[in-house]
Amino acid sequence: MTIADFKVILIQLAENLIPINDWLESKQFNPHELNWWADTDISSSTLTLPWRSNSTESLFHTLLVEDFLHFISSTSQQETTIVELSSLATNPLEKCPIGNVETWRKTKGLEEDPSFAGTSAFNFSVDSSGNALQRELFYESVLPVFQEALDNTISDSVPYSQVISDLWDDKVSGWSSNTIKSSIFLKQFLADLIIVSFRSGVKDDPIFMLWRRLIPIECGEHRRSGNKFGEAQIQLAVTQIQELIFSRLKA
Amino acid sequence: MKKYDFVIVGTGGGGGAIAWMLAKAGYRVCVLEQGPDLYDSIRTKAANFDNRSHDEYRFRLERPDPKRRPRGDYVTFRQTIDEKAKPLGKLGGWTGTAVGGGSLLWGAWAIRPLPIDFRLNSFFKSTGRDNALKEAGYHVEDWSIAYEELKPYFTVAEILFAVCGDRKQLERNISNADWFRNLSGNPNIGTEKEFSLNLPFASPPYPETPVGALFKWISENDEFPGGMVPLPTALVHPWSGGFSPIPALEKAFVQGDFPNDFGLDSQNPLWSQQVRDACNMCGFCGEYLCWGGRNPKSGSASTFFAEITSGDYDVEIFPNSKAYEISYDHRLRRATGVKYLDVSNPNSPIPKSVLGDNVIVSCGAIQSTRLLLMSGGRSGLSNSNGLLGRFATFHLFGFGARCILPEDFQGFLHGEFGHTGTLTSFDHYLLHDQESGSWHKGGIITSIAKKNPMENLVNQASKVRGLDLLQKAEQHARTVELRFTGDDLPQYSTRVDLDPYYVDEFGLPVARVTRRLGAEEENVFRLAEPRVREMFLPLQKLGVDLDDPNQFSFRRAEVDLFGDHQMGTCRMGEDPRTSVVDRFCRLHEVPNVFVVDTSFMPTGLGVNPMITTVANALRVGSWIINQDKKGGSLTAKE
Repeated sequence: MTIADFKVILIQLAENLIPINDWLESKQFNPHELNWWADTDISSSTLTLPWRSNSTESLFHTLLVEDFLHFISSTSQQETTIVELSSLATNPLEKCPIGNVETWRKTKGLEEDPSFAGTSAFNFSVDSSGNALQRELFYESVLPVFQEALDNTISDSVPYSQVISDLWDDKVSGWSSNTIKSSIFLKQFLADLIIVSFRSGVKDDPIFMLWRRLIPIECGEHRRSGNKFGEAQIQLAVTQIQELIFSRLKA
Repeated sequence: MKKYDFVIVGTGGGGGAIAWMLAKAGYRVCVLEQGPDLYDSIRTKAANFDNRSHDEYRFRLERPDPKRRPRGDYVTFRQTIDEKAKPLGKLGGWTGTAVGGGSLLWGAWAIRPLPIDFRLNSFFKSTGRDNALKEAGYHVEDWSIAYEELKPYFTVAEILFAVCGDRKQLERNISNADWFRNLSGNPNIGTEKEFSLNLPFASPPYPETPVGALFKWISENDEFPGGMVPLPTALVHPWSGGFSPIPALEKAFVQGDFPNDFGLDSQNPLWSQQVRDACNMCGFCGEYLCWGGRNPKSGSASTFFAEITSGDYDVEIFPNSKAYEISYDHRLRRATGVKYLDVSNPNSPIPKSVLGDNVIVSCGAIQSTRLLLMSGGRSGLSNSNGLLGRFATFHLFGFGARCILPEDFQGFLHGEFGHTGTLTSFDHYLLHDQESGSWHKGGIITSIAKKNPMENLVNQASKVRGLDLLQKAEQHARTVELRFTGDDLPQYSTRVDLDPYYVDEFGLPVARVTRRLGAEEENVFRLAEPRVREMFLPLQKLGVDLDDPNQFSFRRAEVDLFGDHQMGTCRMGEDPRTSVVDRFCRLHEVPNVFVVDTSFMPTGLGVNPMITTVANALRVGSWIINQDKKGGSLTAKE
């Protein structure tokens, strides 16, 4: 099976890891109420944020997972170097340009058999031994295990959310010890979902680009590729925070 | 094979500045840079500028491949010599691996140090602390050069880097600081006359942002005797319409605020007619590559290399060229060139070399040391005293405090406007211990706009999920921070050397950093904590509970978090027994090799080091050109 064959369970997982509807219901801040962005690129003609006008959580997560699948396929070629770098684990001096490197290392007081220092860099996908692994291979190996864990664990007494919680804590006993830990899988998937949420994706019309900015906009930020702000916008924002400070002081 | 007058390794603030000077003076110059030339598309095809090549997300967050990371130098780290160092997976030891080097990634905080930074040891002697510091393992030294010598070069550097700021406000901030007034009788502190300048910055202060407005209000409390003032910022002023340094250079020259011995002919235009675009306040310059059109963020790529490539100079820039050895003639005791790998295709690196009469090293204090240690004999180049790589300082990264504002501030801070720094203060450049009466070196304290909440979320993803995760994103966007650019004092034990156990992808030994924070850093944290808390007191009026650790937290420095501010590994000094380079940044033992990055600094600074690095490289470049004009030897001792 390919990663794309797991699209349905990935959307379900994305909804659990990034529960947009629950968040929108619970949060106090509504970007609509801060009339700062009226003159920004979001829209000068309509100030409607689509997720605020429709209950469309599934659209957000579907888009996210489609972008995720696109991300995996479009970057896997670039990531092949990870595998190549991993091969340096067995012969780290292979590409050394220094002639008679063994003697040179000895002269410099360095150990005879060094190791390659690069594979433990942060935010790589890693296999069960902690070695860097191409993202595509990472997901291809772990998704069938995840599917199996869901099939075997969910029951009337153990709902989906509980299973994910247990997987996050590596508490699902049926999870194979020969593969990537369930917690590492979930954390990598979550990080990748966040990464794809601010990239260009499969669908790049303005509405979908807006959807990808849902989280920062709901946090009150308008940061994106192509940002630009002018004097009037900055000054309006400064005035707004000054007025807020003074209103708090009066209260 | 072509022989160059100068082979320069590294293209950051130091390498860029001196490359420009030497090219302008007519020398044959070769510049090696281990990374690609990302600015090429800006310089040559402005209309088709593809800002995805500057994508912070791709570089900073996806990073599935260390070769594509602009911070891709491998470094190992340990706290003591008893440990085996481990590869540092996070940000430690980063450099900007592209043409422009570290000046691509800096936060554009362009602030001069103070005269006391150049004579810190004399200051500690005068206050009777020098012996205690020595006993605690510190080796504090005065610089071989005085602030006065660098002063006119700072002016040139600030102009070329289009620094926005308010000179008079900044100077008042220093002279109103408690420590300055209390220590005014101490000659090492310096006088207002010493640091003041009658020349304004080339541009007015960077526009006030909401975060700046908040801190302006906060700084009106008693804990900021000098208040907070706009941080000098090396970005083309947002609504200036563009920037050319020519008028400001002419003004400085007429006023006499210009180096007397500037090596370049002042009768000829120093700079081309190129106009750099104004900053569009996009917020992607905090520590990334600038997205703002053509060159609003100052660095060597957007200034010096833009000049070099637009003129008719005998300069060749070789990107994707990773130096691994300075060729050295043991008989003549001279460097003869540089060996490097052409890593255009990193999977098939090609060994190459260039010949040069002189070599200038500027790869950052970690990688410059590594290169010098890989060169020469057993102990490296010019290291018979064993001090190459010693006395490294990194500043106290992470040191400061942060506060999460109440929910009604959500959406008001706009951390996405412009760069991260907003206001700064010299009020705690020196910290006083009331109990012992002793003085300790602090640094500037600067208010920070938080970086991208999505970047924060990627990092949070390894800890929390669900609603907790999304609430973290919300909190991040209403978090404010005061950050110390804290000065860590040099210790003999804090060093960079070659790791005996690890190599990089080309089989070359990686740099190993050994560092432990000492007793003096603990003193600084102890003294700073209550003060930082007091600085935030006004926020209580806005509903912040400073006793709630979820709302307010003091942060000590992280010992293994270091990067842009790496300094001191090739200590400058007059005595070859106790230092590595002389006052002109030449290696004592191989005087046709210069080191012009931050490595030369005998002590760290209480400010970000970039503008000092550029000013010093201009000073060294001037000396080289003048020495040559006079018919003197670059390698002769003065």
